[in-house]
Amino acid sequence: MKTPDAKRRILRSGKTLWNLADALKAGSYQAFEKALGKDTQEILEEIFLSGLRGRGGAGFPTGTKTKAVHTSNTHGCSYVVCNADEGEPGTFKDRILMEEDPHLLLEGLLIASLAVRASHAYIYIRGEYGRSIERLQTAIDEARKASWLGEGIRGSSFSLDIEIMRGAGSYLCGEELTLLESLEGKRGYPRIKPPFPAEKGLWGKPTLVNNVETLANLPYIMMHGAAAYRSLGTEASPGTKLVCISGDVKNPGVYEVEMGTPLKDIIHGPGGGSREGDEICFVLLGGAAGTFASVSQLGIPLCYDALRKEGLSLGSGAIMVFGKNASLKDILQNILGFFKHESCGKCVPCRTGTYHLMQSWIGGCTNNQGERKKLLPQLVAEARNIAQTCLCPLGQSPVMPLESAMKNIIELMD
Amino acid sequence: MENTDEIIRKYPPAREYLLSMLHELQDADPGKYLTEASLTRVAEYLQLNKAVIKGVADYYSMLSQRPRKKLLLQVCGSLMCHHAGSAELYTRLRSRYGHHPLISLAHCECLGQCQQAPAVQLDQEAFSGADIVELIRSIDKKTASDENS
Amino acid sequence: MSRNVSVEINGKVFSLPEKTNLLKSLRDAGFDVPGLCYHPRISPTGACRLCCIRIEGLRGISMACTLEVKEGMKMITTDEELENLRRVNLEYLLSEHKDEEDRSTFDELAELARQYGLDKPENRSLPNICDALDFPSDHSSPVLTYDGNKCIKCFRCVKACAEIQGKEVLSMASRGITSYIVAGFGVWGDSECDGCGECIQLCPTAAIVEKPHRSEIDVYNSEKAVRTTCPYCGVGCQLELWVNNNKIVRASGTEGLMPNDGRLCVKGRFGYEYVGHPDRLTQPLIRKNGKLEPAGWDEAIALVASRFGIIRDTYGKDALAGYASAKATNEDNYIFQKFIRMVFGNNNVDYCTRLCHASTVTAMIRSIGDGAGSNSIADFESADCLFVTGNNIIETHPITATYVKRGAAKGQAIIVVDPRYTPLVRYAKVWLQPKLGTDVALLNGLIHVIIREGWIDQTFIENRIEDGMQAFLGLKELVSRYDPAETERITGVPARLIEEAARIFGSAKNAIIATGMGMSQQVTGTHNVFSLINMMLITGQVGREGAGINPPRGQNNVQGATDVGCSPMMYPGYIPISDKENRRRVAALWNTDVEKLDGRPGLTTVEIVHAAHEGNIRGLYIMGENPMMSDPNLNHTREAFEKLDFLVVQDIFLTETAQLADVVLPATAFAEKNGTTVSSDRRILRTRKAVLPPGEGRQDWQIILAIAAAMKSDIGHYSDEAAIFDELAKAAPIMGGVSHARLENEELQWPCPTPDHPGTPTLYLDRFNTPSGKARLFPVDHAEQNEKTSTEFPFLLNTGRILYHYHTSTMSRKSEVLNAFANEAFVLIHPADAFKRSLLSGQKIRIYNDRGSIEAIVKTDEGVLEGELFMPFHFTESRVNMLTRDELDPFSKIAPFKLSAVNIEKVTS
Repeated sequence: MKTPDAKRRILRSGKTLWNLADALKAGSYQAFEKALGKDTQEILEEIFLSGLRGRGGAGFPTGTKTKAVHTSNTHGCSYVVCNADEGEPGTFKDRILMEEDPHLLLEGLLIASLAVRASHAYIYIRGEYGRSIERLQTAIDEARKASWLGEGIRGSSFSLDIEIMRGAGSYLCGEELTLLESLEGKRGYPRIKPPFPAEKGLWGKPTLVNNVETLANLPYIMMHGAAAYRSLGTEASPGTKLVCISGDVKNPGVYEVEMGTPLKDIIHGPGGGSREGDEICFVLLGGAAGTFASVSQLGIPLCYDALRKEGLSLGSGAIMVFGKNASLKDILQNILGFFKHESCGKCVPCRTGTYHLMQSWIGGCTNNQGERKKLLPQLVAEARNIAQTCLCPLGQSPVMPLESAMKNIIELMD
Repeated sequence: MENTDEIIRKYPPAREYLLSMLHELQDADPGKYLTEASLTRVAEYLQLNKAVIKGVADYYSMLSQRPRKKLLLQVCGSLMCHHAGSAELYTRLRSRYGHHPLISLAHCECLGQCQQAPAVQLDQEAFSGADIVELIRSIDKKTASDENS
Repeated sequence: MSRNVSVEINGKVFSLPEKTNLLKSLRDAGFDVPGLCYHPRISPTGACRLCCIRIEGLRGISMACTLEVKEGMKMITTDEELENLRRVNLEYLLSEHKDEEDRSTFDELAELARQYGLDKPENRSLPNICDALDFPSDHSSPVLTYDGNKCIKCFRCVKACAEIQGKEVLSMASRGITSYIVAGFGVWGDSECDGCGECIQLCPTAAIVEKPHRSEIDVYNSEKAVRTTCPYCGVGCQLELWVNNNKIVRASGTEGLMPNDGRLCVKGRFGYEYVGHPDRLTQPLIRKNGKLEPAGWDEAIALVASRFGIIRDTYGKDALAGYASAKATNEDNYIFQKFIRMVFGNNNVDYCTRLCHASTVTAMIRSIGDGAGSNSIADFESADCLFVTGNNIIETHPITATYVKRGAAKGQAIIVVDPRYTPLVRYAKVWLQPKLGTDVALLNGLIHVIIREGWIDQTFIENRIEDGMQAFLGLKELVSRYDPAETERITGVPARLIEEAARIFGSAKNAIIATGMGMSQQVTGTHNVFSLINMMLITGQVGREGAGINPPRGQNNVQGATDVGCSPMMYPGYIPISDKENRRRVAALWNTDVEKLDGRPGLTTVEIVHAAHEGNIRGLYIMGENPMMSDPNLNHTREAFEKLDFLVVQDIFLTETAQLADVVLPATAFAEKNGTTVSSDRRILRTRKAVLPPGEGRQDWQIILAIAAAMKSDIGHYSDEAAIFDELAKAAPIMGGVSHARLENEELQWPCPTPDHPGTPTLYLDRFNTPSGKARLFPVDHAEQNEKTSTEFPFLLNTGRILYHYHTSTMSRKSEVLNAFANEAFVLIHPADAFKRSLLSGQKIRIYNDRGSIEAIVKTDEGVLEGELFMPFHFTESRVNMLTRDELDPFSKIAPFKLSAVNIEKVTS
């Protein structure tokens, strides 16, 4: 049986790792130096064999994506973009990583840029994350001064500059194509897919877009090799995962757990279980665009496939635990209000659909519990319609909490 | 206006710096907002038309085209904070600062402080849990001295 | 063209063009797939989600508009679920939309709602949220209104503005459900919108509609829409005139046809007002006791015939001359030059081309053989490099400029040479700002760098230039002294910019040159263009597709009027009159005696004025020209016209020139004519009659024939304009294969010598049109200008045009819309000069020199150099040509409108 808090690979111990000196003591940039000695194909292969999957929520194999960018980069111009637009409610792992260990992210970016021969990388970060921005900027400045960034790094022919681009308040910009639009200084509208960023990304050039946590995995993989990386986790979901436990537990926070750890072991282990006098009633996995799980479902191991089989999702790693005082009615209203607010307005079903969903639920909330239970399936049907024809993942999201609430915990409706 | 130009010219005249410019202009403005005058200067500098700049400024919820007061106090209204009573917190803050001459009170998006919900933000800095009580105390102290000065 | 591939649609196999937009291909193949945000002229948006289809192998539902046709695709375009999803999305749209019938525009949303039975509110399941959303409206633009309640946020207007017109004036504002369209900061009238109305044309609902005549338009009961050619500028845009009760109520661009593929500018879309304007001439006027009095046609024609006859009999045939018209059709102009040559018996026929591109044409004919543009308009988009010199193309040729801007968006490198800022600078890689009158030096400087860096095309020089490398060495020798430092000294252009521009042009794969009035309207006009052609020739940027030189023409038929023989030296089709064999051929066609055709070149425009001043020209026949605005040194022109024994002006308004006439003959406007014009890219385009002329206005060619008949000359009988064109085709070999009938279905660019010839998009592919078939280099040196500043006249005045007005503005200033954008003369001055003279923007100043004095509002502008001024020539109350010179370029006889020494002073009221 897998146990939580096994070997940590991402969350390194050390109180002041944001200082370059301390980071170097903790081993920062050794993996990158090792990568500098390898040829590009070796790096790509190592990432590919590690089986690392994107930690932003979609779980797409990182190696495949990296290879695709490398292949598309026929004109010697590609970009690496770090998606640090951590806007999913209940998610704060990237913030912790950036605030406490920014050099780990920079090292991951260095390795990724080396792999796709990019000389310019961007960190697109939520505008709300003031401290992360500060810490990262300091780290970049220090790294540049110490020649871990800039022209001809460590005497090699490899050059990389990293720029921080600050978002300004848009959940949708966490979607990779929308993020690129925003990075180009435009309104955050999703682009039509295909082409994917690996083919035509930033300014039409091949672009590797990776989540903070994904990039933070690369130094370990480079340092210890794919086989070592695969020694943790499951066959299809190797490695560890940062989870963000919040809500009605004793010890909310970010924890690194091995993939495949049962949910309840996480909630009761590092999460500390429910507080005195309370009990866990249901869990929302993956944030607002996530799924509700009942207490009876918490035996499921935390990995992409097992959760998907159950109709649940890992998303970005948010585990929001709700106890006796939780109001499912209010939670759903908050979620629907969130999507209405964050819909960019480009496509019809999402723009108007999220509005009507919200209005219907508000209407329903003035009614009694029985009516609300009847209303939920109608909303699910409407949300399904939206999900079927909408342009981007945002419109596909409302159906997830609505449907899972209906299937798994409708009896808890207040 | 001179200050506006100084800020704008720190960036290359390329569209990707638009959001950065708007952030900085807003922070530097005494009213903590984007004036039409500064948007016009940005448009000229980037050789873009006014609507393009306005469109971007409109889209992002952190950017404001209406003046605000000296201190911007925002309460996270996101799911976990909501569950942890941010609505009540907001009500309490409103009764305290609703008509305060130096404080604008508003809601904001998730601040990534869900482990210590509810969270608030004063200008660019996030506070949560027990820190909020401390924050309120320091705001009161600061605004009292500002009002007197 | 893409190849066809087979795809399976709803179980049947179809052949569709590969890689084309799937929604468009499906619709072309007859499938009625709904969709409101897609338009074939813009990139796919994927916003309305109505074109949902099912594609085998793709998960879920796909949007046809976001896919391309691929071999072997299998798809379902309609089934119960798809129709349900469309219905759901349509309901969503209707829920945020205000139902309100507006019959002035074709409402695609309303039409779809009817199809899905959702036009009746009782069939809808969602509440209407429009009122709650409180969308804004904007009525501040002079040309259009925006109503957010009817807007479906399809992005078609935003993309029409950005992608089709290259302007990006519009944006979506707000976010999510409250999104709406915005121009400027929310006040359309204060935005950068120039009123082209492309957004109106693409709006699928009644959200953006034009203001003029809105109440008079009913698209469901429209009388007729006539396809014709725009009467403004030389682009030749194809448009449709909507007519109600013999009145034009709308103009819209014709999509799918070149040269404009539906695009129009503000003049083309809204400038038609003059046609039905109350100031139109409705009957002949005869000067009696010093005043112009209405008269009958018979009296007027008889008077004209007898007075011309008396002058001919008294002073000889050389005492008569005529101005043809750059605004009249080929057919009118053909008959006019035939009249001059057969009835006046001389070659004194010219028109305002002499004042615009005569020098360009002179240089081009001598160097490469033809005076017309060598390329098609679309090449302005596809070229890698565009060299624009003395051509404010965005304002003077707005639709050509759309191609340029689209090219720039794809990475085309634009070099702008202009002493003054023009809007194109914003799109340019390099802007060279030479002092007025230093173009030859600048171009020689560019050539110097090109040669020094070895960016020449030696194969081209050897194979396609007369005397090959030897001629090249002559040029090399001449430009050797124009090194960047010396060129900077003469022109004021920084050496590094000269190097940069030379690099861009010299290393371009395909370069297109656009040259305008800034080059041609100088005493050194011909030399300027020679230098330009030299640069083009040594780099081999001509003689193949996608490269060449193009002088965009200012008026709708400047090109055609010369093509059909309104030239003192040439018969229709550029056949020299001096050659007896040519005269014999023309005489045979015209059924006259060869000896009656004069072999001596006639007088050019300004020469005619000089001759009138000296008493050598006694009678003048002006058709549709307004020299009292457009000629240089207007006081001199006025004196000349006043000295004439007899002046006949045939026009549609009582122009500044007509006011001096002895007889004024009311003619017809473009919308009242049948015929053809020729665009800047040699495209022969049909003008079609949409309305009847007011009062007793007659066709120009019929008036001319009536005068000829009254003078007892038979110059031909024609059943209609098509018959005139048939004779023209026989006279001009370049149009030998063209007829009105062919033009109904074909787009033809001359030369088109035979009925089976497809026309010629690019000139000189095999040979140049010179006797040797090769191009010629004409090395020329920089020459100091005679006109210099002095303490008395310390400023150099430049003149030009603006977007909203056209030529002498007899037509454009009749439009309330155009006047709303610009209706006041102004002069641009550098802020430093304004400071020195204590002038503020908006103050009235007097601009004067020995030739004249005018007043205008001053505007400070960093776009002009210190010591230089700029003024548009459209405004009759401030006729800038009072100040210009009639000293001529010795080769082309063009006048130097671009350089006059003047002084200014504040007008104190």
